[in-house]
Amino acid sequence: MSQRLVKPLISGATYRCGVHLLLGAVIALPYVLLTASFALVLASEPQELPWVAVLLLVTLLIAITPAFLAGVRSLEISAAREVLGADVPMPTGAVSSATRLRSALWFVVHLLSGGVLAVVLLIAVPTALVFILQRFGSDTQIVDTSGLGFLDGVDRWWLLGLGIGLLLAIPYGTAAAGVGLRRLAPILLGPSPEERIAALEAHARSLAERNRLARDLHDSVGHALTITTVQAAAAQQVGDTDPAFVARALAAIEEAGRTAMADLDHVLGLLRAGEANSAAAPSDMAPQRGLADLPRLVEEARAAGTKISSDLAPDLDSVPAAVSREGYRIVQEALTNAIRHAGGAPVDLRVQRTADGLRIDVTNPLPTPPTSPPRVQTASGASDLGGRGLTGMAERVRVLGGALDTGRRDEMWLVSARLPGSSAGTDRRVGGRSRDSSWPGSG
Amino acid sequence: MTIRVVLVDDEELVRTGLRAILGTAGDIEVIGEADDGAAVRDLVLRVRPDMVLMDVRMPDIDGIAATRHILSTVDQPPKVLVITTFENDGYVYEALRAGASGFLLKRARPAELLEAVRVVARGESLLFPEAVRRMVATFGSARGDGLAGAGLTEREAETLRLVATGLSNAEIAGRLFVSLETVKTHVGNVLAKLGARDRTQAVIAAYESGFITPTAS
Repeated sequence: MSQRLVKPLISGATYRCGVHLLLGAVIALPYVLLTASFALVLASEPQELPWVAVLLLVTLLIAITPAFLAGVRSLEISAAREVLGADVPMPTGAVSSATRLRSALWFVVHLLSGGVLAVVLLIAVPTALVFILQRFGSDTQIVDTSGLGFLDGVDRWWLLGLGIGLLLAIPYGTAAAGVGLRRLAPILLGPSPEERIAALEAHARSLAERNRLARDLHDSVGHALTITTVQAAAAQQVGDTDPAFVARALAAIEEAGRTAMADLDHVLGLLRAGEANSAAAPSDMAPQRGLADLPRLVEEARAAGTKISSDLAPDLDSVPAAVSREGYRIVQEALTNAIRHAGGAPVDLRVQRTADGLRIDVTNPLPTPPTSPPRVQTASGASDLGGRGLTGMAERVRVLGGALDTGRRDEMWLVSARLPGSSAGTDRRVGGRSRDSSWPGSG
Repeated sequence: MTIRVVLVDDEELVRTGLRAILGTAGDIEVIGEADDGAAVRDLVLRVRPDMVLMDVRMPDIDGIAATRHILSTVDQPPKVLVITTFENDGYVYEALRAGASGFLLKRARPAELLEAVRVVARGESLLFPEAVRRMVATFGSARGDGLAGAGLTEREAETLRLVATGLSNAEIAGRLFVSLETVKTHVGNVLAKLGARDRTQAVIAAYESGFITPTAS
């Protein structure tokens, strides 16, 4: 019981709440000054009323703007979380007008309650000190000079009690205000139900995406480790009787390990990137475009002023989801590169279904003289031209078990990707199977 | 008497590895390979193996469909031993339900691999009874009449319970104080009454009907 009585006095939460309130008081100060000066003007020069009214209106508009700003809301939320200790989630995404109104209300509550505490501190603390000190040696002088004439002759012991009571009332009052504000904060600063749902949905999407990546990783690393284990066991079993087999097994183990490591690197990179901007880049998690969206992509590029001749197979929407999604991105990256390096020359895009899958060809004439001597390269790895885009493409192709050819042919720059299009082909490689949720019956 | 085996796995490196391991056994001979479930039936009809080592997850026709296909269309079909990367895999359980006689992890040690092939070839005991029990607990749906309709005798029911624990016929005979021949008769009756191809199928039927509860150890 006594613990509960003393707790508000010694609890850090009380004093943090005091700091939070005084922050509000500091922000309130300009408003107080403005109000005071307007009152002064109105009192001294009532004949200027029309002008003062206009000025007042403009000032009011400016003064209430901060209450509605999203940045101020973020600051208030940070302060409420960090200083007040209120349970409010950090803001995400756009803010609706209803939410702005609620946070403006909080702004007002914060400033008013802060102002009250500041006034109480400025008046009550000196008064309480006077009451207390008059009992100890200073005799009547302080009380007299403080101008509190009505206190003359009042019982000194009683005044001492009042002073101590006043001093104690401040932390108790602050603690009570803290409790109230911590309850109020989620109501006024929290997200609206719609915003909450949107945030949950974004979170669910990001989890699903991470889940998919984790499953892919599980499959690909598991596959590579299986090869490693089986081959190593076989090599040991065969031993001296078949040195050629042992040598082949070692090579296969090396290759499987290398591929699995690259997959691991790639997926962990994606997961880490997702961690870093899971809030900032919801577009990454949005429903992803596929090959069926290519006409739109081409139109967008044309709208941006690029000359594109495109030849798209008619049955692209029957391509497996993983291939479709990655294929779209490959085209997107290839077009971006072509547009960046071709310097306005026409780009030729060709997407064909082949017997064993899909073939994507993007060609554009090289500007003469070439801005940088491109190096012919195949499969994975970055070249010095458009490094990151090509690395990304190579990664996508590799994950799907396809082949990528980029480089210079005569006066043309060529990007050619072959992807196994039926699910039959996606597994024909040493390491890193990539299985998607579209895979029949998986999971 | 060599056990003649066919390997089915979409990954060539797994096949070459398994082939090398099996080749060192002496009593096991790999007489064919396929890289997809689609090719298995023709291969089986051509070389007539005793057993198919079947990967479950394959691109075109997976191990479940291939197992079902062989067992339902081939006269006197070979036994199917499922090989899998992941133990905790609903596909493996489906393959067992489809008629596979057992399953084996690809990461098994060579000695375990050889022993598993021999156990399945003999058909005298259940392969990895504990793993089968876990698998039923995870993926199975135990509901049914507890084999009430099968009309098992007291002794046959007891035999089935012991089969589910992985005991061989000889061990069951010792446990029940009866002759080996009697046990063989019991097991044969159980398989006939349950319409089961082998012990694995009988045990899965026992679990799935609720005759045995997979959570009880």
